[in-house]
Amino acid sequence: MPYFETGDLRFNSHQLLEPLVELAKQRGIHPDKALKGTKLFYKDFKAQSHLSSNEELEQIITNITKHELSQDISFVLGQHLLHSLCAKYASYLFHCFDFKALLIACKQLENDLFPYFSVRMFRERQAIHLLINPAVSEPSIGTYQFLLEVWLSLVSGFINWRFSELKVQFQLPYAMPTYIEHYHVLRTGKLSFGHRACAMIIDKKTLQTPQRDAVAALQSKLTSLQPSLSMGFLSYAETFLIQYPKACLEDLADHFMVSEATMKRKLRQHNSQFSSLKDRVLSQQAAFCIQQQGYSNAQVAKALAFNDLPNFRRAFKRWFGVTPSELRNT
Amino acid sequence: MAQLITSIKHLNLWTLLILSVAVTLIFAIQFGELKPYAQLEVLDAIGEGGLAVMSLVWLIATLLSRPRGRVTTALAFGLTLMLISLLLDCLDEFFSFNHIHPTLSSLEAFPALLGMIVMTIAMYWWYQEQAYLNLTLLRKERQFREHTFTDYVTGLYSARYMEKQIDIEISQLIDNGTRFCVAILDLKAYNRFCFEHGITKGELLLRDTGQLITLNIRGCDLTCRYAGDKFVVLYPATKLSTAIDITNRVCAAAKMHHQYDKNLVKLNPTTLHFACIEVSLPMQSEQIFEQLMTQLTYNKQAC
Repeated sequence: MPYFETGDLRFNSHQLLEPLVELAKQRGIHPDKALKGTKLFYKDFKAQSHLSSNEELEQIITNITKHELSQDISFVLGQHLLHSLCAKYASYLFHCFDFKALLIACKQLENDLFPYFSVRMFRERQAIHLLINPAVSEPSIGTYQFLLEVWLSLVSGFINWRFSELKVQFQLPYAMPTYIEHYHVLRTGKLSFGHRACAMIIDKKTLQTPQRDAVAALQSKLTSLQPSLSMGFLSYAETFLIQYPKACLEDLADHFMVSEATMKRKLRQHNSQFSSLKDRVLSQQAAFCIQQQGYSNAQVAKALAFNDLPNFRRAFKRWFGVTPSELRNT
Repeated sequence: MAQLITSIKHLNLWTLLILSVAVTLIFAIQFGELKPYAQLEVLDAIGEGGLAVMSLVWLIATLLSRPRGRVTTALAFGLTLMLISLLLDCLDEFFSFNHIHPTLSSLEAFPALLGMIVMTIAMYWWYQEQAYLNLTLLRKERQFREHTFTDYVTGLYSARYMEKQIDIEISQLIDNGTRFCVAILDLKAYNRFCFEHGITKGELLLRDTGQLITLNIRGCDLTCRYAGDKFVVLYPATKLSTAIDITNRVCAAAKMHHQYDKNLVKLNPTTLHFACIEVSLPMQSEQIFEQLMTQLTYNKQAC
């Protein structure tokens, strides 16, 4: 299968799920409360090859984030994930000569390193914008924020460890949380809140920054690893919509080799629908074209495969609540 | 199964509760005469039944939340007696005991009276217990208590509590011109420690470090966990040189501290970086933390 769904038992529970429950337990949240609604038991994790689904992970995150004591769990979990991933993929990641080579390796290992998010890349003259979107299903705001904190802790932890001087800019799609000190200690570059999407902005000049203690000759070939080619459900749908921006639900259903009704049902299972998915794909590109590349309305409409300008303006107003020129001026 | 039963906390008290409720119910059903429907006062029965249920909820909450000890035992006894009394009062609406003895129904309030006496003694012991617990918290809190600001991992207060304390100090600075100092301490190579020994061991190290800092500061100072491997210390009405001296002593004490793994093998000594600033102008706590973080980064690079 080229994609996996939210209910598929695909993830090794010992990588993220078990440490998550353990960390919650250390903070006084009983494992039964953390696992409520997943049909999982704490003793299930004793099995070495226990597998869990994205749906179970999201449910556990929802259960845990209800507690006040859970504020730092996401950051500690990111740190734990950094250690376990580094132990597994050290020979592939530690010897990438520079930051650019590391980004290429991470892109190839995308579905193994952090399969909960997909990365969409936009290039401009001076910087690369990596937009981080949910890859499997559309999570609730709280779960999305939790997963973003795990990801941020993981990414900034690696950068601080291996590229101590490198500063990367992060834009986050939620308001500044009260526990901002946990973000401050990550020592990332510029961090800003309240954006439309999560983005990691990398200055092109920093791409050549060498990795500390890296020896290119020691890097294992990625081909020997056979990275997972199966991507998350939403990520698979988005990839298709990016390639065919004029596609309709029927085309997407054909791509998934299912009927239209099944496609609708599957989208609903993943807390999404065709129109919102397509809107995200197009609006992210439109915002980048206008804000970063300074395109005119006609150029953006053409890039997004709109037939006429009024149609584009109407869609734009629906996505952002402002006209293209108003967004350009902000 | 037997192991599961013996592992239940307050097993004796749970047994006492179940037995007393069962005996009360059996007594009422066995010896009481069911009242005719016409004599039944529904509202009275609901009110008295509600009181019995609520006292049962209190009792269960006490047994679930409190540790073993004489305060818990006395509270449970007192509440059980109250429950019996309230239960009898409620059952009185459905059953009549006049055929046994005309004054029997009047005795139903006595278990409650006894229960209130036992609970009064329990409350006095509870007050004493709280006074002893306060002593253990003396070095961890200052001026006010707010359990929602506690950091579960280290047992110290969190950055939110420190913000409130800094706000109090700032208002004193504005009123009296009393300057104060704030220091941030950061564990060196904490990430590597976690990588080598695991997150659980890392969190134990954080807990120990928090205790260690608390032990090596003055009684009037306050330590809180900031975030990650960083701690903040507040030195009220203190000169910068004194604050730096104390922080240096904390770092020296930390160097002498060792962690042990499962095989009692000594792990790397705890080393701390720190930054300390004197606050002489009114400013927001966020600005103070920002300045501390900047200076800490500079100090670490200088090392």
